[in-house]
Amino acid sequence: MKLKQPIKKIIAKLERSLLIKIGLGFAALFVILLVLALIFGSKRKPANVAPTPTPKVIPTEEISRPSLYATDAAILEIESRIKDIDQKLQEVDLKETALNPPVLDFEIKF
Amino acid sequence: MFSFLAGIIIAAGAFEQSYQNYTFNYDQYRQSHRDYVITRQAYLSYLTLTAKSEAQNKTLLLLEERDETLKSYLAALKDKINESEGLSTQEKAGYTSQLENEIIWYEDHHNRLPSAGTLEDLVDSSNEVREHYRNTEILMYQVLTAVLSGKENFWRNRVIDQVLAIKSNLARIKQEGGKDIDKVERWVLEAENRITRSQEKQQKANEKMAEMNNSSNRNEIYNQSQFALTESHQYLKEANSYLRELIREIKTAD
Repeated sequence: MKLKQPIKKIIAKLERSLLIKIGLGFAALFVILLVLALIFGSKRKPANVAPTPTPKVIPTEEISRPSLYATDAAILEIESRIKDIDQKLQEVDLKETALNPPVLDFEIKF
Repeated sequence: MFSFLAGIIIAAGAFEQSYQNYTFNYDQYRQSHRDYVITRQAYLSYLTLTAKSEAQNKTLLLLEERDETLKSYLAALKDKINESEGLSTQEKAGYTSQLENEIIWYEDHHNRLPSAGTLEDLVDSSNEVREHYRNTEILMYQVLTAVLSGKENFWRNRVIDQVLAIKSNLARIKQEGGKDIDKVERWVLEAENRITRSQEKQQKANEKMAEMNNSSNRNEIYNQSQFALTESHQYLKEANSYLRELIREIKTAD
């Protein structure tokens, strides 16, 4: 019976040292993982996050200091026609490539 | 007004139809050309009577399709010029007449093809077209340039109309004394300068086309003419852009 006490103490000592070793092992593993995450984590591609829609900045033609003619009907009418022409000028096809002459072989010989 | 619009719509419909007809014939020609190349090679390789007969048949078909392609292309050009804006009735009539003469020429050539008895006759017949095509090609490019020039004329006149309208209103504003218009009047001159540059570039495009009669590189001359028209158009866009700024200035207090 007297022998059980020292054995118990030894077992307790062993268990304690084992626990300490296990604990230190986990701690070391944690530190290693942390270091790896810091080194390689920054090279990861950023997550594919859908961008939030950026508000389109449309330049307004609002005039900060309107003159007497800012609302003049004749001026506004001309302005409207000029804007329409502006748009149409961008669309004019000055190549008409579909109408290029056909490529034909005139060198028929034997 | 209604009959004018109806005329444009009908003309546009005619062009669509004739263009489809042209693309169909062009496809047929390309197929015929492939067959011609194969049978020609076979004949030159084997020199048999059978190969020669086959080559003759395919060459005849090729020449027929070539004539049809040219006829339908010229017909499409004719319909295109008739629907084009910015050209006078006389100009359109002039080009239409020339195109019709060409179409008749190729129709006549097409009708004579079956009478070619030998392969050599067909080669001669083809060479006849080769010689004539020089004039046809010049006409084609002239018509194409006219179509593009017509567009430029149309839009330039629209811009000029706005310049005139602005000037008329500036006279009114000056009379009313509601705004200092010195700056605006200078800007009108700038816009008019741009319009003048546009006209000059278009003139250059037309002068370039005149060189075509004495050159064998007609496609290159056409491309250069087209480039000048593109430059003309750029000046026109700038002129219109100036007018937009000008209007904004009128609407802004001094």
